[in-house]
Amino acid sequence: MSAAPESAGLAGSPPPGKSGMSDRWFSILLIAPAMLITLIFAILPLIQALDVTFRMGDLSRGKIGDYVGLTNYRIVFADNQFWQAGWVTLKFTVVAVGLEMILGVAIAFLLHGATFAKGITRSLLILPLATSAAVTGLFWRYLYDTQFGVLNWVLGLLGLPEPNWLGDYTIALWSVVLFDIWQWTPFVALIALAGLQALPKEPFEAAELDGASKWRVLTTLTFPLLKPVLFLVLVLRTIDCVRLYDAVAVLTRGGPGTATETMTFYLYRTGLKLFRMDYASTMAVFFLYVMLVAAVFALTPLLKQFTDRAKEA
Amino acid sequence: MSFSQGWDAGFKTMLIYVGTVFFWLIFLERYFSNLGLSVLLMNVTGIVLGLGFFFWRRKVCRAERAAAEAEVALLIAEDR
Repeated sequence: MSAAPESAGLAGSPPPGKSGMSDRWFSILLIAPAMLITLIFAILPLIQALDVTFRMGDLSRGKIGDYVGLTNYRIVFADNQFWQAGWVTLKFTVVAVGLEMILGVAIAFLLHGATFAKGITRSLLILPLATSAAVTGLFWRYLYDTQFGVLNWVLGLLGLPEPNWLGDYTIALWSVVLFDIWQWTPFVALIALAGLQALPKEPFEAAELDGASKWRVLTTLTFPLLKPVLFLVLVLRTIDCVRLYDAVAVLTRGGPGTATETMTFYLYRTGLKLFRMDYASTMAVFFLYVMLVAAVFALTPLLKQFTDRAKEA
Repeated sequence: MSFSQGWDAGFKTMLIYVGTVFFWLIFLERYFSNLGLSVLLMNVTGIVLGLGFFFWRRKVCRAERAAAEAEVALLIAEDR
């Protein structure tokens, strides 16, 4: 490569290519379709939803009505059912994500050290992920069935009490949690396993030579090196759990009563069953805001870690 | 302040303003008998907090840039 284009590239904007288009304009051209699709399918509906939050939006009257200011926000924030749905969502997220992370990482360690049937186990782990929650949810409804369900049949054989898994309001939420754990623990396990397999070997060999104990290697090498991967999977699972809808819709429809009604299911019920688009949009905007704030707080340490690594490099 | 730093600070400023509005509506508005006054105070508080954060970020970014430029200048001087 000659020196002239290099110096031109360093001095200012990149030089034009063969087509006469600079790299900057070419990159803008490449990203433009994705940005256009995002604008049409994400930004414009968001703007419309924001507009609806400030209007009377009772669809049973046939149209979006007049401007009402912050009234919809005041009504939604004074709605106990809304906060109850938020509390259910929070409980579900904390328990499901916590257990999925613990079990997923444990399975990943077991698989990492396994010498037999590693490939087939990995393939089997993908099965729950490959099927839609709407389909597997139906299977689990039959598993949980009080009359014909396998779970109660086994419990009956063992002489144990046979609970009404989805009908008892004290355990219905935990039944949904159990279903979510069954479906998503393999995801955590596979990502953690990929992270484990990608770890550099040299620090572990050095630790072995120094005679470090397994626990010390685990706490000072494995987990710190695996932290970015685990953090990423934690963020992904949290986002997914917070917007839980399909499992609830298939297993309990929010019941018994409102015991398993999550934020998104309440939002759906308000907007598409009760036709109050104004309240539903207001809840959606508040929900989006909470998720954005959570994402900012969750991603800041991760981005800081990447920046520090870049600085070190 | 670069474009990306400005974008980031602007986005967080918007989050702070909206967060103030939500916080006010959930926790503070019930103590106001005059709704108009409540909305006015809410907006003033949101704008003050948002702009305060933005200018603080701008100051931090400028200080970081100055420190980085000084470091680069030092390295260039060492090379000479």
